[in-house]
Amino acid sequence: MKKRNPKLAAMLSIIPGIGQFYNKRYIKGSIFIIFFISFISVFYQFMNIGFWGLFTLGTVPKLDDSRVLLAQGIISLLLIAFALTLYVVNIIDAYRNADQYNKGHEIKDNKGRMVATWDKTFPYLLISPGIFLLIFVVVFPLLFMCFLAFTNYNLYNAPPRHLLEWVGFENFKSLVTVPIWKTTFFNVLTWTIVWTLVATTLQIALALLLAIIVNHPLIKFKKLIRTILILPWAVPSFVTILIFAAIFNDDFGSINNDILQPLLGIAPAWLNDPFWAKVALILIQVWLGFPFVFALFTGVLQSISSDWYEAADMDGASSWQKFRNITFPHILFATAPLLIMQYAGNFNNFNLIYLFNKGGPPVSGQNAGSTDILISWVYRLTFDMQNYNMAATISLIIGLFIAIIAFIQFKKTSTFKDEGDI
Amino acid sequence: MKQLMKMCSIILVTILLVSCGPDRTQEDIDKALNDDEKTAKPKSLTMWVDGDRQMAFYKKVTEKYTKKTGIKVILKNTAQDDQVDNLSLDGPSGKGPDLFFQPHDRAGDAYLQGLAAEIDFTDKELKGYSKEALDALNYDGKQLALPAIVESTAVVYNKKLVKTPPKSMDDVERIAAEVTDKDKKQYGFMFDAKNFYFNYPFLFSQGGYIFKEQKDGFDTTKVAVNDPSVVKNGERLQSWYDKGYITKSANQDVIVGLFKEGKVGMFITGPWQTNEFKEVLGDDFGTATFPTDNGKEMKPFLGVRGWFISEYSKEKYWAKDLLLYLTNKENMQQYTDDMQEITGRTDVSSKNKLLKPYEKQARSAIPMPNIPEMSQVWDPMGNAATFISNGKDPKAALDEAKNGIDEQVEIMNASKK
Repeated sequence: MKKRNPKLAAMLSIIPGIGQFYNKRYIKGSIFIIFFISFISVFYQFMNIGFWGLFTLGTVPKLDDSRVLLAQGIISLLLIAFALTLYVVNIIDAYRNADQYNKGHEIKDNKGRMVATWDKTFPYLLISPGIFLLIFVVVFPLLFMCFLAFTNYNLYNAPPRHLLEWVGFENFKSLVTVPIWKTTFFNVLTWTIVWTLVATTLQIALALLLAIIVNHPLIKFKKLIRTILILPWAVPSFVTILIFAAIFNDDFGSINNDILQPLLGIAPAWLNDPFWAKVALILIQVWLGFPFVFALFTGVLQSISSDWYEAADMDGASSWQKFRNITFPHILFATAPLLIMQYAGNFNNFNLIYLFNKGGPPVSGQNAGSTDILISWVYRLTFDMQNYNMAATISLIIGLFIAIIAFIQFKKTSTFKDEGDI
Repeated sequence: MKQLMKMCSIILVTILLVSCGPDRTQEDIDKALNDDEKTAKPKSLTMWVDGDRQMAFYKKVTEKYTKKTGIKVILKNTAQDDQVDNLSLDGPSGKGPDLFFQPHDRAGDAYLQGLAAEIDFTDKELKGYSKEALDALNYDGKQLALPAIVESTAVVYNKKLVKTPPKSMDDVERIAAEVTDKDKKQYGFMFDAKNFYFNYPFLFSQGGYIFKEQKDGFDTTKVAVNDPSVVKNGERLQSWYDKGYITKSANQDVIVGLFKEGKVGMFITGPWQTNEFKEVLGDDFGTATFPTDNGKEMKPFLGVRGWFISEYSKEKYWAKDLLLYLTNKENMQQYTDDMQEITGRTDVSSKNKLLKPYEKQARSAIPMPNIPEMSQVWDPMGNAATFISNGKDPKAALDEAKNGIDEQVEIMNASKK
């Protein structure tokens, strides 16, 4: 039997299919060649314009639409990524095939090969429509947004009249150097972080406290209490927030008129004073957010074996010691990923901020309201000021921020490790 | 494997470099941009029309036009608010209309995006149109559209409570004092004072301006919303709250409801509810122009809606012809008769007596600035009005509004090239 040269087969596969022909796999080779030729003939013109557009963003104003060219460029990139993957697979296939032939592992009859191929590729065949959809529905818009952050797309430089240009990191630079952007950005960022940490931590702490109290053996009517505590979660937050906005009203709201004024003699300006607006938002978020965490904790508490507490009792542990060393670690271990999602969710809690009082009250010297978090500021920039490039820039920063935090946290918690990796 | 990666990246880079872009000559570009003045008759023209009522009206008019010229006019029902966004994508791809319909405050926006074409008119062609309405549709010294509908606010009153419409602001205060009866929840004079659209004529009757007007447009760095005369008017506004003439919680919806119940002597509103009031109040319902204030005319905001030519129209010559036809005297007369709205022509007049004061008021109203910066004015001025209603010093409230506007405009200008 004459040996085949795997390297030669791989080299021949630079034109897809030829390597397979060398391996005497004529059907497979023909399929590869047909795919290759049709890909080039169908997409050549599209990708040609796509890549040209991606580099130049158009050359003739009004005739070229930078937005369309950008989209076409991104699709071309995705197509190329698809094609390259298949191309690499084709080369590896030629190499392996020759290698297996040399070792005598090759399946001889055509039917057997087809069955083997089918078995191997079936799972991939199943997930491929999903992945394909995911790429065009999720990845494509994301890429579009990322690219916008590096252009100068705003009201005064808007297609189709003007061409966009690549400005590199100019937008990021002006965000931290131009005075008004700088103050606004840092103020909003600081408040966003404070908001995320305080509101989320408080809601988790409250949930923990309530879950432990309600779980105490001496408490009666557990089911009723649990149902009541979960109610805030059952009402759509959209409705709740609007109602809260009304009852927190400085002049007409019942919090001031019926509770604080008669009882304490104070009437904070919940909507018009930045500090009190922030307090109100945190209170509302705690109210809205604790039931979910409460339900979560209650569930986990049931799973802690009573043996552990008995053993602790034998050793003479105090209640605090039992909580610190048994309950708390157990709860945290089981729920950490979901708690991280709570933080991430509040970081981008657009609903609450926007529906409560649209990020107000206004502050002089910045172009965001005093309670605007990054995401609601992005909304303002996009829809009120048509400042798309800055909005994209800030979105990108938000994305990075969340990704980094989530990545670190997930790495540290063991819940997300694959089986067998522990 | 490493070699493989290297090879692949080399291939990728070559592909990127080889891509040489579209193959087009200067001639193709000129042709595509369509700057030539071709006058050959097209088969059809397309218009975007806002809403069913307008569709029905313009169907009649365009049928006459087709009879006259042989050009078919295709009408597409597209909501006014969506038109600019849709055009920005449909225009370049060749699916856009020849004519579209917009309020004048979107003119600057549409022009900056390159959607609204500049149109050259001769003086003869512009004869008969209201000058204010034409100005409103003029951005940066360029005429972008011809007016169809104009809207301004005016005084509506209930003859049972107010015998004759007030001539001056003193009359207004006298009526307010006489008719207002807190116990009966009856008010002599009301308006949505927290809304800048309605309180503008009251604040700016003695001077001051939003943006300083220049020969070609506005100087956005000069804002005088805290002019001493405006502050003085702000104080007067506050005194009306103190005296109980107007109330904090009364917004336009509330006032309309009260007026229909016969509880409001007079208030400020636009022409859009005229028929509704007429039905409820019958002959007791009257309309009048604004009174004078210290001998000076009070001027409300003017809103203008008109027909624009798309920059992407391939038939600009005939689009302009259709535009002139749509807004000519005969058709606009029919418009005001059919639709009971005020048109942008001075040589057309409504037969509806109740609309007459609106017509008169529209001639002297101030067009809302049509520059994009105007969008940054509403919020600060609305806030200032709220602060005034809450008892804050009007000077401080208006100073804050000025600073707010200045900052917003500065940010917008920072992105200007």
